[in-house]
Amino acid sequence: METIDVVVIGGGPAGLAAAREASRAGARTLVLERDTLAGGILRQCVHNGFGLHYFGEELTGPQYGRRMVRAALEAGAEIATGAMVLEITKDRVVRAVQQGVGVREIRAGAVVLATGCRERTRGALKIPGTRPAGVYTAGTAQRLINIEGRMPGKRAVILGSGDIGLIMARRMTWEGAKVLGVMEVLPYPGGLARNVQQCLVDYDIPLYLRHTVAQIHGRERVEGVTVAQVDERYQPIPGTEFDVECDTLLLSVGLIPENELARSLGMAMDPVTGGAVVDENRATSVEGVFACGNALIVHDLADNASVEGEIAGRAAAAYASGKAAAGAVAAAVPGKGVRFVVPQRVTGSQDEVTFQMRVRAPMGASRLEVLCGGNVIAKANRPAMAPGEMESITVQGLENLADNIEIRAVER
Amino acid sequence: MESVAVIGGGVAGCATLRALAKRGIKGVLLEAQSDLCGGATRANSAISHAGYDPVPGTLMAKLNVEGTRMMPSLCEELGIVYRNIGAYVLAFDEKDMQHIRLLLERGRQNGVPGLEIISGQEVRQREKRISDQVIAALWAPSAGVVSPYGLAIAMADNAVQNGAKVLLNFKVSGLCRQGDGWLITAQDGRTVQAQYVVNAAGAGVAPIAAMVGDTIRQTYRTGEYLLLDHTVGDWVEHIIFQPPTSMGKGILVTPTPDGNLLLGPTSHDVDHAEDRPTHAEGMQEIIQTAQKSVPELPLSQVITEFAGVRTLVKREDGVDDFSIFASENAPGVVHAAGICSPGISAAPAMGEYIADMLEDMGLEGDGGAAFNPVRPHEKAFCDMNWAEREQAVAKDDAYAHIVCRCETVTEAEIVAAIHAPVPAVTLDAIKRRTRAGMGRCQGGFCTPRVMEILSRELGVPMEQLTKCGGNSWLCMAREGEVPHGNN
Amino acid sequence: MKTFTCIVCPVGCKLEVTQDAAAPQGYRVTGNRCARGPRYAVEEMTCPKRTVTSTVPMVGGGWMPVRTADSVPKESIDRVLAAMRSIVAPREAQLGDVLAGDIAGTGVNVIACDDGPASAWKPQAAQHNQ
Repeated sequence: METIDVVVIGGGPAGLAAAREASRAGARTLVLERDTLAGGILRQCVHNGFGLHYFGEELTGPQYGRRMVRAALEAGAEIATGAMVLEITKDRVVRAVQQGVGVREIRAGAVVLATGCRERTRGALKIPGTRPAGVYTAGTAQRLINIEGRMPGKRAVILGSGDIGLIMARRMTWEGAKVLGVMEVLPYPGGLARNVQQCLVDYDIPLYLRHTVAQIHGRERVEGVTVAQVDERYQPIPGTEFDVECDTLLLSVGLIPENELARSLGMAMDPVTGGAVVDENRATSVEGVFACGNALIVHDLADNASVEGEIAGRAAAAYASGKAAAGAVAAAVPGKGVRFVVPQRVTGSQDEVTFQMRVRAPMGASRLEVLCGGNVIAKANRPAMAPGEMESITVQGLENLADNIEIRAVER
Repeated sequence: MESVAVIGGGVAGCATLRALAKRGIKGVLLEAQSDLCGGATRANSAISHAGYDPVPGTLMAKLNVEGTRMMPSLCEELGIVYRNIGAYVLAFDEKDMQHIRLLLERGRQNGVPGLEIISGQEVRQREKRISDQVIAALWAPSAGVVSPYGLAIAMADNAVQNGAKVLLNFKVSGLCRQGDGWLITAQDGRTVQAQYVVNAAGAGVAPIAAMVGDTIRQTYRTGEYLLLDHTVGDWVEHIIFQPPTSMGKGILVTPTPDGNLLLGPTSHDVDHAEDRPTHAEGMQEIIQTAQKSVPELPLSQVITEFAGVRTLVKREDGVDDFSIFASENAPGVVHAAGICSPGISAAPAMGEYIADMLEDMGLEGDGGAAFNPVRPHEKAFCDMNWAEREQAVAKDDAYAHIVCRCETVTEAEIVAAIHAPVPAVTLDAIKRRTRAGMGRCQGGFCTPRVMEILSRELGVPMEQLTKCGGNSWLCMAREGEVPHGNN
Repeated sequence: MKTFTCIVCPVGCKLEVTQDAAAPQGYRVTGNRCARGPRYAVEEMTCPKRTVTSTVPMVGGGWMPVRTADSVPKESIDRVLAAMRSIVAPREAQLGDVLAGDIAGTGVNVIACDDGPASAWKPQAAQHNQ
């Protein structure tokens, strides 16, 4: 059995940041990446818009990913590609298979889960109709075009206005396909406003808010979809249906943290985020196991996943070097108007803690308030907030918490 | 000239091909689609029924009970999963009680072993999530679950290993007498000559029967299902039925042989077997009815919905039965029509029954002394322990490449499926054999990777690959670019 | 007055642009939360520009992600994409290498966004103390 200080599972923007920081802190660090190259989903996100916060310049996904790979290697981390982790035990024995190497059994001082997320599927949405070829998640279509060099089709409808769906609308258009419309059940777009502008508005691609795909048609290949307006419960309104002839349906209807390994460890999970319950060091309820990136919460930006990876990487290195993990002293819970708060636990071991959260509904001029024992201990005004955009607030002086923390969003 | 041509690669055709091979008769199976099991065998409840439903005295009753009796040893020989988990038929009121008493009586007449009626309290002790509205249940210990397409494909593979042949994409367009046999023509011009013909074409039985002047009146019934992830595959431990209705066996809740949880089917008459769409109302009906049996269902774990079609042939007296008979017009032609539920359960016995018929008609084999009933197969990587995995990876590095992360399917297994006795050449065919793409991400991750492997192994560009043959293309070349690479 | 969403960063400010001879560059911009907003707004009014990204085949197989090193005039996007289709990336390409100069007459280069499989890049000796 091999022995390694910090094993990072997943070589995307979070995992590579964690590996770099763990290495810099002196830990012998190994990244296990299942794909043939490290970089994670960034490799297929060939568009620009990454890195403005983290690198201070606008990069494409592959540029961002390559810089992260280089930085992790320069810090001394080892990156194993084609390596799929199949099992972790509670005492942190990691079992993986690696192409060209075989079965690897590693005793890890600490483990960082940076396994990313997966896309919601047609099945999860229960879209009625036939089951022809040509129904792809936006990410699968993105891989087909950018990594495999193939087009998923030439006349597409996109369900869901998440960022990947918007990006794919432009990507398909650039490759000569016709995108007939983007359907969104909510009254507002799911992705960033700038992506609506530069991916849809720029190319006159219609965005249908409060609309859904009510039925898929076609026996062998998609031949069309029935689109309908939806009511308050997101159900199609009879009489509003119209048919669109197309050969492809792309789904951009949400991301789900990939946490099969976490679950197999019996880790405490947050039912709202779909990720682990963590403290401000990104320590999970399983001793010596940390979580970060989209496996923890689905971030808007790779940059934020990397920032979180740094925290987890440093904490994992500290744990592996024998520094005992601090016990959580208080919980951080969502209050009025807030869906979730991460981290969900506070140990008081850091001078300041940045909480991340999403609001329940779009708000105009508003304020985030952090309460402890009924007192507001931090607040921040926002010109507007929307569920599609992650909010954060940094709080200082959490060393001696006597009570749980609640974060709420109120109108101003 | 072939001795026997079997038209249709569903469970009935595959069972017949293997039963013939057992007798030393090397048949040829003609399948219209790009893979076996594209019809009723593809989408059903995956159950080996105990046999208390069919009316006593029917062929259906006989083959059901006999098939289910054969199932465990057959699955053992074929190396496929069979889980003898038993079934409950729940009763919620006095009317249901009458019904399960009738089923008990029928079952006893049909020779179903071990049937008994137990109290509601006892059901809940044995199956903790059952509704407290249940007052009693019929317990049928001989029922089990088996993958319908797994069973059919394994039977066909085993027959091919013993000398049988399978021709895919063979769409029969003509069947005419030639000498003392039959000339079968495919749409693409291929021909096969055979002395005997078994028409087991599922929904296609009637049009093929018409080619020899036989009239078979078929009706069609569709059923929709919801499939849940294997994280909740043990939500219930047995097959949970409700009292059957005139339209079928009612909505059930059951673990699948692969460890998922299955809810369904609805049951609606349709006028053709072509499209199999799912409907919002159907899914609602499944959920509401299934909740009657099991009030708490983990619906957030639904990974897919699907629908299947059964072909029915009513007997003149109105009793449901299989319709397997030798043509009076066409010497040497046997029709296997109306193979609806319990077709999977009955298949092992049905194959023997049809082979017996052919022997009675004069077909002769060599007794099958050389027949090997055991289908050589590798254990699935996901079922291996670590020592076995280490061995497998040492032998073939393709075992170290996990292609489908949800179901832990390796490249080695996908390559093996592509080069199996009945080759898997489409995405769906790979999925049926290996489960790649069947998990919670529904192929989102593995689809392009499976396409890469198919493209490489078959030596065709990706844009020629299909989901399930025909016009089900998966991708096209990028504009203005000569596709290259990845091969 | 014209309104549009700023695409410079993920915040996506709603910019309002009014022609105003008295303002620098002839436009008055409101709604921005940073100094890049007005710059973008004026450019969007006078000569809108976008970054173009794609993937191009690599010698011997595989695809290389590429981008225009800077943004190009919006009306040139189709020409840039068409010109990109004739690029073939060497396997030795490194992050930032110019794969095509002055693409479609825009004066902007197309650069590699990744290291190719035969790239010579190697990590400097690790700095950390073990």
